[in-house]
Amino acid sequence: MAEVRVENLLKAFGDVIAVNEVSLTFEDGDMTVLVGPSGCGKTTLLRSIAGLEDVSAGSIYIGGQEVNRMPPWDRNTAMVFQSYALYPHMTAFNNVAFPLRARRVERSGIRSRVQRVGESLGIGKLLHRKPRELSGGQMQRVALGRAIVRKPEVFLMDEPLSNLDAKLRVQMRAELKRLQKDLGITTVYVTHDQAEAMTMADKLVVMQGGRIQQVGGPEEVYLYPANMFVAGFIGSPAMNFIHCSYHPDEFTLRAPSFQYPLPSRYADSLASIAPDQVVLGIRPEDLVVNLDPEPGATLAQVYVTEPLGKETLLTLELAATMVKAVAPPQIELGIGDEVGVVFDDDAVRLFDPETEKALPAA
Amino acid sequence: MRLLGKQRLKWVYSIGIIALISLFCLAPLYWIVITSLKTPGTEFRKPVEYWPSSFSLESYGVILGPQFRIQNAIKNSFIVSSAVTLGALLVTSLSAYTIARLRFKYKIESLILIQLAGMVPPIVTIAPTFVLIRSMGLLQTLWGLIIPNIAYNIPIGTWLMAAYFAGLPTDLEDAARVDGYPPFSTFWRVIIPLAAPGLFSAGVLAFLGSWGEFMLALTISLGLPSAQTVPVAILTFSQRHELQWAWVSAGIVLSLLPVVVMVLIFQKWVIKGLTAGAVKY
Repeated sequence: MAEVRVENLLKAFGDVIAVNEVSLTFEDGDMTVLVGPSGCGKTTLLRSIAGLEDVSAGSIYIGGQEVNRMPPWDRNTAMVFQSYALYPHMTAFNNVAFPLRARRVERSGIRSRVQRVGESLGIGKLLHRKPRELSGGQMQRVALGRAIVRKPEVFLMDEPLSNLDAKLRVQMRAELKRLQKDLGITTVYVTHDQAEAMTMADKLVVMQGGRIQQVGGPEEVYLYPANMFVAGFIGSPAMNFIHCSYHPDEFTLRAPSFQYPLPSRYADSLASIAPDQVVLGIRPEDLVVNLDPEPGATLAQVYVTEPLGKETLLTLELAATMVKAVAPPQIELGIGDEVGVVFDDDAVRLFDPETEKALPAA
Repeated sequence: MRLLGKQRLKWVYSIGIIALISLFCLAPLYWIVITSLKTPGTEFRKPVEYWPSSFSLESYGVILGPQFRIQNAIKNSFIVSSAVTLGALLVTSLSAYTIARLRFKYKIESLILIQLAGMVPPIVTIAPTFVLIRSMGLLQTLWGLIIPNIAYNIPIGTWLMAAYFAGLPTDLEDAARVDGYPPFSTFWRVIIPLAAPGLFSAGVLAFLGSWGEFMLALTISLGLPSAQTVPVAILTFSQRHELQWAWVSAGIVLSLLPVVVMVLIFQKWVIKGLTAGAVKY
C-alpha cells in the first residue's frame, strides 16, 4: 500500500497534449476514480503511472519514491485492463500465477496463493480453463485475481467493467468496491461512466482536455460542481442549463417567458462580478412539476415523457430551452400539456457563461 | 432457364480451366512417378507408355543401394532445411517484432530495404556469396549452405511475421510488462506462443524453400558427396551414370516425398503464410 503522487505531469504525443501539467495525490488505501469523456487524458495518466507511457515532463512518485525512470516491471503496480488482457494460450491458473513466476516465487507457494485467490473470487473451480472457455464475468475475475495475487502497492484499473453487460456491471461494481475496501490497496480507477464513478469513488477526479476540472468526494462534486462541464458530465440525466440575463435592481434572472428571483446566498458574488449574463443550473430531480400550477408560477410545456418505471422523465420547454425534470411514475401527462415548475432554491447553481466556472455562494 | 444455363456454362468453363492448369502442373510429376516405376531401359519405349505395362521397384533399389546411397543426400537436405528453418525463424521473428512493435526512425524504410534485398535474384549474388563462404572456410560444408539460405528467407519471413505480430493485441504485452516481465521475456513467454501459427507458416515456407534450393547447393558443395543435398545429388547421379532416367526419376520421387507429405499435412499453414495480408505498422 502506498500513496501515489503526480506533480506537473505532462504527456504529449507529438503536438497533441494528452495530459497537461496535472498535479494530483492518490491517497494511500483510497479508491480514486478518474472520470471524463473519451480523449480527456485519464487513461494516459493511468498508463503513465504504470510506466507504460514515458512522461514528457513532471514526476511520478509511488510510496514516496520517484519512478519516472523505473520500468513498469519494477514498479510493483498491478493493472486490470478493459479487455482483461488474459494470455489466451495459458489457463486461468497460469494467468493468475504469471506475475508470481516473474518474481520467482516457489511452486508450492504459487499453487497455494493462486488457489486462495481463486476461491475468494469464486473461480476456484475454473482455474484449469483457458480464457476462451470463460464468460466475460469470469474472465474479469481472473484478471482481478492476477492483479491481487502479487499484493501490489497500487492497483490500476482501466475501465475494467465496460465490457460487461449492464446487469453484471452493476453487480461487479459492488463486489469490486468491497474487494478494494477489504484489501485496502491504493487504487486508481478509470472510467467514462459517471454513475460508475460516483458509486466507486472515495475521491473523484473529473478530467477534460488533459486537465483536471475538479477533485473531491462524489457528493461534493455532484452537489457543488466547479464548472459547467463537471455539472453537465456528472449526474444522469445531466444538469439543466438556462441562459439568463441578470437584473441586479430586482436581483432576478430573466429569460424568455421566465423569471427567477435569486437566492440571497449569491448576493455577494453577483455584486462583485456584476455580470450581464448568468447561466442557471438545476438538476432534473430538483425541479418540482405541478399539474395544477398556481397563478404566477413558472410554466412549461411538455415536449416528451419517458416512463422509466420507478419515475417518469419529462422533457419540458421552458424559457425557450429544453429542460429535463423527474416526476413520480404515476403522473399522467401528454405532449403539449402545460405544467407549473418550481425550482428548489437550495439546489440552484449559477455559472459564468464566459468562463463556465461556478459562481461562489455564501 | 436461360440464367441457369449461363451459370452452368460458367461452372463448366471454370472447372475446365482449373483442370487444364492442374494437368499442366501435375503432368511432369505424374511422368516422373511412372518413369521411376518402369524397368530401367524401357523409359523411352515406343509407343510411349503413359501407363507402364509392368511395374518395377528396381530403380528404387539402385538409388537406395551402395552405389548411390541417396539417403545420405536426403539426410543432408533434412539437416540443412531444419537448420535453415530454425535459424530463419529466430532471425525473422526478432526483426519482424522490432518492425511491428517498436517505434523508431526509418522503420518503414527498414522494412522496404529488407524486402528489396529479397527481390534480388539469388543468381545475381551467387558469386559474392561463394567468395564470402570461402573466406569463412565453409566451402563443401553444410554450414556453407545453411547460412546463406537463412539470409534468403529473411525477407519473406520478416514480412509474414511482421504482419502477424502487428495483428496481436498490444494489451497483452502491456499486461506482461506490468506483471513483471522485461521486453525479451515478454517476447519469449507471451508473443512467441501467440505467434505460433505465423511461425509455423514461416517455418514451413523456409523448409520447403531450402529443401529444393539447387544453385547455391551446387556451388558450395563443389562435387563433394558428403556436402550434397538431394537436388545436387540427383544431378550428379544422372551425369555419372549415362542418364538412366528411371534411376533419376526414383531419386526425384524420393526427394519429393518428404516435401509432398509436409505440404499435405501443413497445407493450411502454407496457404496462411502465402496470403498474409497488409497490416499497418
